[in-house]
Amino acid sequence: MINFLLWNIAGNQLHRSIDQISKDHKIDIIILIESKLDPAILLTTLNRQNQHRYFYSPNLTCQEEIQIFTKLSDQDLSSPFMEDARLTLRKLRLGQKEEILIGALHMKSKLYINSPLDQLSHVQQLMGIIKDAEKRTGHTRTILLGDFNMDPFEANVAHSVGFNAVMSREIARQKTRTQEGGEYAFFYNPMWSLLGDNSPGPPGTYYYSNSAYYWHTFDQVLIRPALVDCLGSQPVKILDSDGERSLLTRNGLTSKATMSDHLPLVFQLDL
Amino acid sequence: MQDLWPENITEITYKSPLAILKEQAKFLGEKTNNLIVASVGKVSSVNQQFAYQFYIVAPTLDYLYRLFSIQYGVEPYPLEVIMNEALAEEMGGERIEEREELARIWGDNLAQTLFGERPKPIRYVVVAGSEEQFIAILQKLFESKHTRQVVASLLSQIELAIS
Repeated sequence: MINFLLWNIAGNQLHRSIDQISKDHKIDIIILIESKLDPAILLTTLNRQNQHRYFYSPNLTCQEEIQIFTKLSDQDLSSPFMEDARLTLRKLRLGQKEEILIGALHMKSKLYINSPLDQLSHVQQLMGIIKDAEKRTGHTRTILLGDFNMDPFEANVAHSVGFNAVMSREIARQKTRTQEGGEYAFFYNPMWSLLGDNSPGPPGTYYYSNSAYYWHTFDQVLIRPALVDCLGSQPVKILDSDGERSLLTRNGLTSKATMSDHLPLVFQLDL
Repeated sequence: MQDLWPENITEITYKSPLAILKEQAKFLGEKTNNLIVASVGKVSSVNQQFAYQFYIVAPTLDYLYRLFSIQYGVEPYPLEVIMNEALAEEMGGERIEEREELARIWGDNLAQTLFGERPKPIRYVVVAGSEEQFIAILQKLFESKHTRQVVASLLSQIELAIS
């Protein structure tokens, strides 16, 4: 069982919360987005009681502020093998088990792009890299996670020419869909189950009062059909507390001023 | 029935953008003793367009970095070069047209509807209207600080890996 933490920490110094969550949830792989942390300082915090031994797994040329820390050795979790300015891809292989691909990304904010078409264009470039990676490794056991700066229901995430990430495991298990002559491999997007008030946690991962929806779920985990059975029944959790302190304001919202304007996700893969 | 097809129907009068990229990819390997090479990958695209990724490759590290992509239709030009922000900032704007038609498609501005703020556009798509313009853009891309940084960073990692 591998436990993941994904968190856009909005450039804040959240060592203590990352440490607390990592301990409470026995996190094996920590993926931080918009992180300006000094890796050495975070490692000192994470490893201070000598109970764990985390390592920093740096990007090679990906310039985005994506940082990966792990308890796994570099034989288990590879250094990056494909990157883009906003995407880093690693291979995870535990002993004799089948290898999986992990892609961590941070897509541009809508505030800084020209149009939804530009965003789609970016999605397609990223999907091109992912498909190339799958071709190189000869499998599609891929998990893609990060701050997508789009909600699961947006066309660029759900549509076949986007990430093709669907809300239903059963549909994802069909592996591909054919549209207008092209065959598109599915991702399963478990984040659909965490939208709104029926979510066991907060209604989203990011709150923005000037938006139509108020709550957004920009932070997502997409999983190829080959890995769907590695997820449990409630696979992804949005955390609103680090175990000691609330990550929300007194009004129950996210705030960059207090913690981060994004909430962390934790999830498990049974490999 | 008379054959209406011209005799030179199969004659190719231009070099395809893909061929240009492949040639340039080869040159990088020659310059770095094949420590750093480049490769071109096909992207499945919408709108019946041809789309390719241009990767900087460090074979010793088993590593690929996507530098930019291109896409074009049945007619190779105009051709779009799609870059990351670091490259786009360096590419500036002279000689390169903005994709104004996309700004028009943006229309009432989805970002404004969703977020109540006007977007601050980043020009990361540039358009080459001809082969000459495409070559000029490629030259500028390869000479850019970002590309040099990527190559330098990979060379130093390779040095570490083989030392």
